[in-house]
Amino acid sequence: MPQTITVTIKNGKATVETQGFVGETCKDATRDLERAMGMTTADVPTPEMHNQARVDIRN
Amino acid sequence: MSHVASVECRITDLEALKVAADKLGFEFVEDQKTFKWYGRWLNDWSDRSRGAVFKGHNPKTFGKCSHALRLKSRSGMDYEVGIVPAPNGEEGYDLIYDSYGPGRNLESVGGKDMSKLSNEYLATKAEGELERRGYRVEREDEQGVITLVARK
Repeated sequence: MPQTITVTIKNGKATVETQGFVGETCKDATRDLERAMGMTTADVPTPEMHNQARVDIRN
Repeated sequence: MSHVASVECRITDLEALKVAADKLGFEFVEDQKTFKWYGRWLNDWSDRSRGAVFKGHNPKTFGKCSHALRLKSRSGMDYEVGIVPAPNGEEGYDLIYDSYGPGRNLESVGGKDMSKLSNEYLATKAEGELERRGYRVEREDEQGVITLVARK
């Protein structure tokens, strides 16, 4: 799956969603973006981020 | 999806604000230290979800600003938007304006609570940051929602 960042902006707030990233790389990809826009008020990991952690443990 | 983050707008980049303001129909007046409003605080605002006072701004400072925004299509009666340092030592700026009477003209351009202007500022910042990192950005505007999709 190609890496995609989707920013949805409404009422002075933005939601930043990543797709195609695995593990913590998703946060690295958007950290500067979020900081540039303002204050991050919530951050919810999705199953892909946890998948990478499980692979690392097996290795 | 890998993660979903929620971000609240904080204006820190005046150059991006200039771009956003110009796009909507405002003129950015650098170093204008006062902005036009009714001129007297009446303490008649009851909506605690809005209002500069409820965000920590002192009414004694109303009308003063670091820079200002005025309508490009202005008349002599128009109010202006003050670009004011955020209160309590926080980083960035707030957009302060009187929403009564002539203030409605400001909201017709910038949105209620300057939400349209904030949205455009966020889009300007996001597009710039994503393009700097090598992403190709597609933008869609629909019914007050701006969606940016960035791919490498």
